[in-house]
Amino acid sequence: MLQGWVIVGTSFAYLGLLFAIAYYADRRADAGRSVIASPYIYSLSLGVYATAWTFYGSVGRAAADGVGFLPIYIGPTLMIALWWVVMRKIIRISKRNRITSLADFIASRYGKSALLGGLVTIIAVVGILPYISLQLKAVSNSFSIVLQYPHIIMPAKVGAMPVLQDTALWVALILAAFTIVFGTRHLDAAEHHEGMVAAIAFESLVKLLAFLAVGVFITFGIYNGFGDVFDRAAAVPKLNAMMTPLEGVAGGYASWMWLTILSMLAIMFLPRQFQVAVIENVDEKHLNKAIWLFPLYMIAINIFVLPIAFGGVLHFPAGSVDADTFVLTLPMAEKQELLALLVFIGGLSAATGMVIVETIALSTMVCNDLLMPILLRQPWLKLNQRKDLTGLLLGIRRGAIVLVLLLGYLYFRLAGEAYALVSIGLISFAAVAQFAPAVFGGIFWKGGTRRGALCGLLAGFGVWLYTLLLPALARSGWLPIGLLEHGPFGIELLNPQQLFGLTRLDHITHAMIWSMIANTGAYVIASLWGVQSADEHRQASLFVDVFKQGGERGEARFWRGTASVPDLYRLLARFVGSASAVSTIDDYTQSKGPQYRENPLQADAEFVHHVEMQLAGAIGAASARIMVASVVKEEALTVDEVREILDEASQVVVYSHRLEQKSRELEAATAELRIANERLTELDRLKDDFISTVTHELRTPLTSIRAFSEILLDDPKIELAQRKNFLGIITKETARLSRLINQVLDLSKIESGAAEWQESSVDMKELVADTVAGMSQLFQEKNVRLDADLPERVPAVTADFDRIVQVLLNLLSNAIKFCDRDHGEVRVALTEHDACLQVAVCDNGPGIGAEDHAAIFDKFRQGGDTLTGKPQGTGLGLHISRHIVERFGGKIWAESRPGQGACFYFTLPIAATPAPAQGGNT
Amino acid sequence: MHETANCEFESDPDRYRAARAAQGGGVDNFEIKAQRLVALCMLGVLLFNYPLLALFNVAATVFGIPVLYAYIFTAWSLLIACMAYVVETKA
Repeated sequence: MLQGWVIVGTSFAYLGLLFAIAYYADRRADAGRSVIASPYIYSLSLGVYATAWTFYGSVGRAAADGVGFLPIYIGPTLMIALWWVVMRKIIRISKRNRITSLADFIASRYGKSALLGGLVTIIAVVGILPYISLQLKAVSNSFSIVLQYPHIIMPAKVGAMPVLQDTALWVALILAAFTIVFGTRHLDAAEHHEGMVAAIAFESLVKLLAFLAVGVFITFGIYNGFGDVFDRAAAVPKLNAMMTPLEGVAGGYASWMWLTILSMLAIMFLPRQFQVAVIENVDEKHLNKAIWLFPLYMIAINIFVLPIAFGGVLHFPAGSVDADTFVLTLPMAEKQELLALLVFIGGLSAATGMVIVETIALSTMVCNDLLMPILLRQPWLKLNQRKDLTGLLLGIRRGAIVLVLLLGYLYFRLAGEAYALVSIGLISFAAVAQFAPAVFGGIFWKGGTRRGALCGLLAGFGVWLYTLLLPALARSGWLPIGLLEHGPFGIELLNPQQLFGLTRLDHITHAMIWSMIANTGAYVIASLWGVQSADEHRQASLFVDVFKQGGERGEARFWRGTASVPDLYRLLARFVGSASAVSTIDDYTQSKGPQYRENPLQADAEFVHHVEMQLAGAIGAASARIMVASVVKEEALTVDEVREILDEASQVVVYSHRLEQKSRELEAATAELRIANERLTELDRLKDDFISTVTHELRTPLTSIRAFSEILLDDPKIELAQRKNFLGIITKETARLSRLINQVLDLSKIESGAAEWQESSVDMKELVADTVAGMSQLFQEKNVRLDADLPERVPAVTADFDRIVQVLLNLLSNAIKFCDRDHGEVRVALTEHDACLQVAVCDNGPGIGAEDHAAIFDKFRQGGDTLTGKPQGTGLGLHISRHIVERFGGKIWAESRPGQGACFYFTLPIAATPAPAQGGNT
Repeated sequence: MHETANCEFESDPDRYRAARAAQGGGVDNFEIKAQRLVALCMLGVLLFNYPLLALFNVAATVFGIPVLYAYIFTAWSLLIACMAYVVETKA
């Protein structure tokens, strides 16, 4: 039997367990071994999105229209794919500016405007009240139902009950007390609540397991799996309509789409989501895993919604049991005591998770962005002279928690019965969606102004009040219902649910369309036609360009003025306590080095900025600004000056980029120059070598010519035979001299690139045969045998005919010179080798030493011993040949072993596309 | 932030790159993943809206489950799988 004390006892035991987890996590955090520094905990804590609304309400909605609950989870799945870009930016901005809440974020973006922060806080509180009332309704209803076990009796209407006997009130008060103990035990300058995050992650697990347990029980325990449930449902006309619900029971596709958009915005701008996703984020990298883990969580908690909904409708007579309670009443009807208790605890965990995070987020907003900026400006309160304000801050927050929960209860009493759970939640979604233009515009568009954000929020919130809150109150009987039927004062066009005659939409879609038009329109128009103050301009640039800036000093450049360190210390101490203030300032001055020790009383811009950031972490950006301004003599910067500083910074960036590029270019140019210089030096050396060699080579024949000429001149009586001999030598040497000069000229032309090349398609067989025939006379004279080994036909090559003949002649005349004196033999062969034609000229002379194989192709290098042996050529022939062959893409080399003759080879690449006519030319 | 406040990114592009690299293993890696995720979001918008959704709004069942629900949950799971794949693999 589930008796009252069992249920209450289990509930408190569960809350106690939560507290123990939080306490443990806080202790671990203090010890520096955080338990929440994990992407899995981060993803689970995002599961705070699934509240009692998900736990009980999804089934209620599914029983009514089949698919209507799905966009609320598909929307976040789509949005979270964009988190890689959007949420990362928001987290980075928030960390850099020490943002403490959504209101702080918006206020800070638009020039640290206290007015804007206050407005956002009011919208958030008013907008979230229906949502909190939903949690109270769910917990108190489920409590009353489970209390009646084993009978299933729907709870009485709240209005019928005296306030003090209303479970919801007690639930609200207990949750308030629990949240106070949980979230405001001490003041944390960084606004991190590690314990809370750990407890929330645990709650996400509990509600998921409870829901899966009941889902499995109903689908596989009561029925025989998914197919069975859907099968039986199809037999019931009311449920059969839900097999194809779009266009039918669920409204059109417009409804579906707007619900998706609405929940895309909700996952970002619900204060509790902002709290866990941004403020409590300890590492940007946790986003990566959350991007797929969190959608996975949502799909898991939704799998059994439809079977439970259809099962409930099949199980209970129509209208006897509220579909919002099927999750609980089905196990009760099956007499599953423990499962019913587990479901109750699951629902409790869903509701408490939401209430704890939501009220902590809202109380931070109320304290930092609504009350503190007002209180600090009241001279009669003399807050500026109070030594320690930490107590006051905690007091305000605790008060705000109680206030928010009691207001939630009030809404529950006033309007809670008019709608099902899901509709109540959607009203809140529509309220927080109003933050979207100001936040998205704020982080991507520098032009958004404070006035624009104010106008947009006011317009959007106004439309929300008129089209959603007003009808909710009217339906609950607090306003004449005629308002909804005929419009105010009988003006149909102003009907809150059919504004300007826009009909055939459900009330949420209708409200979203009008409020988004009003909000975005006002934001954009007021921004475009307004001017930004210096503060706004600076903040806009800091937010939009957050990835382009450096550390905190980036912001400090905007500050000009004087302040004293003791003043700043006293200021900090009042808000964060003196011990914390001392360590903050000491850490800072120590990290900065000696200049602070030299001048300990004068604070510079960076120091002031640091203190303001620390303060902002405790009391919000707008309040921190007011407080810092009260102790420093600040010179206000004009818009132009801010712009100048920004321009300067961006110019510096551009300039340094340009400088970097220039220096890279310079380096490249220097390297090129160095290479060119080395080449020049080398060429110069070669030229010197060449000239000295050439002059040496010229002198040798000249010397002998001169010597013999002088003999002939001096001695006229020389014998005729002798004279003939001398004249022969002179002629030969002169010929050699002119050959040498021709070759030097030829070489210099080739090397300088001035030589003329006449490329044409050359048939090598013809060329070799002609050359060999032309040389045959000479071979006969020298008594050397010449063998030519030519194939039938070969492909054409592209080359200069005369030049190749020159190469072959050179090789042949070398062969004659070096072949065996008595039994001279020279062999010429033409062969085809991998896309090349190869010509080989082999002799049977003394051969060339291996060390000379490469060197003989150098200038003025000859085979044999040049010192003793008589020079037999100019020493330029092979060098020129190499130039020619390489010019046409070929190679030339020698193969030889001393005593076994030498072979010279050269190759020429076969023309890529030989014309067939040339191939058949022979 | 203290130790990093000494010099700014503007004067030190290497540090800027290093900081960007720390976000997700390289500037290019980070950018390409961002683009892939945006593309997946667009795909999701397409999958879960008119007219694709209307194709499955028919009275038929797959393995005993109405086509619409089977489609929504399958497409949803596949979308999440794709997101996990994009995030968890190197670009």
